Amino acid sequence: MTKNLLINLAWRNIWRNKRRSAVVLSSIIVGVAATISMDGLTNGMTYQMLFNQINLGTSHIQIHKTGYTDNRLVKNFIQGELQLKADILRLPGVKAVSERVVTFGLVSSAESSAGIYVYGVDHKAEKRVSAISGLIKEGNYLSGAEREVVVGYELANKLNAGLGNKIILMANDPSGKIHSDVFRISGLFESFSSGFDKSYIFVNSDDLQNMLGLGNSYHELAIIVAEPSLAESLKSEIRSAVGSDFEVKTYRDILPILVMQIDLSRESMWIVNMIIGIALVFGIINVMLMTVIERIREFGVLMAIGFSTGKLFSLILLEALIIGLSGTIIGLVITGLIHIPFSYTGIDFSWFSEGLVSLGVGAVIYPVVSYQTVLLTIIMTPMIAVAGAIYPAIKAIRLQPVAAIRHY
Amino acid sequence: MILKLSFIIFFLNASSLAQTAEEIITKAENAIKGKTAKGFVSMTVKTPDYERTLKMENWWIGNEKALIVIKSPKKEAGNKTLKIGNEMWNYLRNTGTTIKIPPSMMLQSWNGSDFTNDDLVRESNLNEDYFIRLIGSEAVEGNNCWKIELTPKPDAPVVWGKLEYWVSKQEILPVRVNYYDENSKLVRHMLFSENKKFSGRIIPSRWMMINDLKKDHITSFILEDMAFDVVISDNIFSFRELERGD
Repeated sequence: MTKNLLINLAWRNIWRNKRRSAVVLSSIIVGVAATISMDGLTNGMTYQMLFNQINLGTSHIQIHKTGYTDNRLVKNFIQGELQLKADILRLPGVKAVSERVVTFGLVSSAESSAGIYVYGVDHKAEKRVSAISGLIKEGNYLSGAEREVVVGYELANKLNAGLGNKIILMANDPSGKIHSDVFRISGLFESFSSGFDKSYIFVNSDDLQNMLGLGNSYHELAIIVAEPSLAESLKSEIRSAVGSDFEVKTYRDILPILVMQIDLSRESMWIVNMIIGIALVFGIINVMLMTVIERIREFGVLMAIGFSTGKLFSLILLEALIIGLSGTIIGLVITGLIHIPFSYTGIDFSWFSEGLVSLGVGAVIYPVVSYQTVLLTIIMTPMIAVAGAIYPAIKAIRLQPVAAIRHY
Repeated sequence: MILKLSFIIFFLNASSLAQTAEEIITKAENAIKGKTAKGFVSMTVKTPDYERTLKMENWWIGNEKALIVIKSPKKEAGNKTLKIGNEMWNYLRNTGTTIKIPPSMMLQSWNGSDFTNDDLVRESNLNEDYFIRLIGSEAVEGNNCWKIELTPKPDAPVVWGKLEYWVSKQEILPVRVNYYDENSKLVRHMLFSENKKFSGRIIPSRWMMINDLKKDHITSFILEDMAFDVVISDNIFSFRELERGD
């Protein structure tokens, strides 16, 4: 009975001064919305960075000849006769495998030249491993025809070359001799990363193997697996399948800085959330203190008619809890309404996207909210509201009924 | 008698007319390059910001091998460039080191000039890389010239879209070469002038490369003393020679 009485009383007290309650409520709504949106945005950004890198060619797992990562020399190639690709495709969980000839070289046009990484790929296999074919903005992706090359817009601009123009590629063969060959631009791509567009070009593997005298050897096997989380377990399976002559690395090994950045931003979100929480606590203390001071006479009367200090204390905390809970719910609903459409359309940051593009994120960010954050907000926010009410409640129960009644 | 003479003249004329464009180009190129050549050349690089002159001594065996030693200014004297086939090494006297020019540096400017490392290395065997066509006669700087068009063969690793080559009819010497990109934009041109006699052979002594994309970027070579078709020992084009300080 007394419990119902307390809840009743608290509910009525909240509605008695609507403006006061609305202030506390709105600060909680803003807090909830800020926490979840921040989380959504940073998650979206970091996942996109990783996703883009994997799609641009990092893939989930890469295999090289041992020593290649330390010294990316043309002569560290994998012999084509070994048929590694067929062996790996047989493993469960592997979706696609692409053999790549990779080297560093120089492209030049009549007007300019640039140092670049050349990827010689089999266009059919590569289409299933990297997203470059989907990023072609002009012309076509490799089709297997002779002397085709696909370059980024930025590079094409630098060379002042367009579709159908020729570029000369120069590179070392395994013995160190320089070879040059002519290629024609068949397609122009634009990725999320300007750095990538400037420094990677794609040709058919046959052309590059001929130019460098590699036969059917290649440098890199790029593997896409069914689920990114499978990469680590598949890594050891592949390692035992191919033997110790080869390095097997997952995207976590290949992109340590990016993975670290993602972990770091996840950690730093806790700090941001804590700061929002502390600000919320002070806001609630402030408003609850006001409510207590405004209602000194009322509390005095309550105590005079036999309301125990314990009940008074719980009453004030209950008021805070009700406001906290409803604020959390309203806040969640509002952020949900904002977040869900944006998670499909993305938020366009193109007005300051230069920086984002060079970071490899892309101008449009699709927010991703993690369940942990939502759960944490639901639990923590009402608790923070209650915590903020503790000090005002202590102040209230310390009142002397006689003095309080006479307080106007 | 007169009839006979005019007959001979007619035949001479006819033979000179019968020359194919390929022959004209080969003759002109051979005239200024020779089978072997050695001599002193000064190179002046002029840009809007600075102008500098290098004096060099060089030895060439056709387009196959070359050694270039810088004589002045003092700061760079002793630096050498060795070319064998399509590979190239730079020797820096100050540090005593030899660097092989990697592909990524091939198109960088050689000693700050409008020539690239690749220009020096490239076997500019025009007959091999280009379709050659005589397209007419034209007067260039007072010389009656053949105008010859060179279009790269589809598989030739050549950056240019087209070359135009003017050869003087009288001496069969190059007068001007225009370099176009694939969109027929003039990228640079080369002028040959001031014909002089070196070891019995008359050739242009001033070669100017003018960059048409960057205003006022000019590199000129002045041949100061040249000897052609002399015997050059193969030992000159060796690492030992390259790293021998002098």
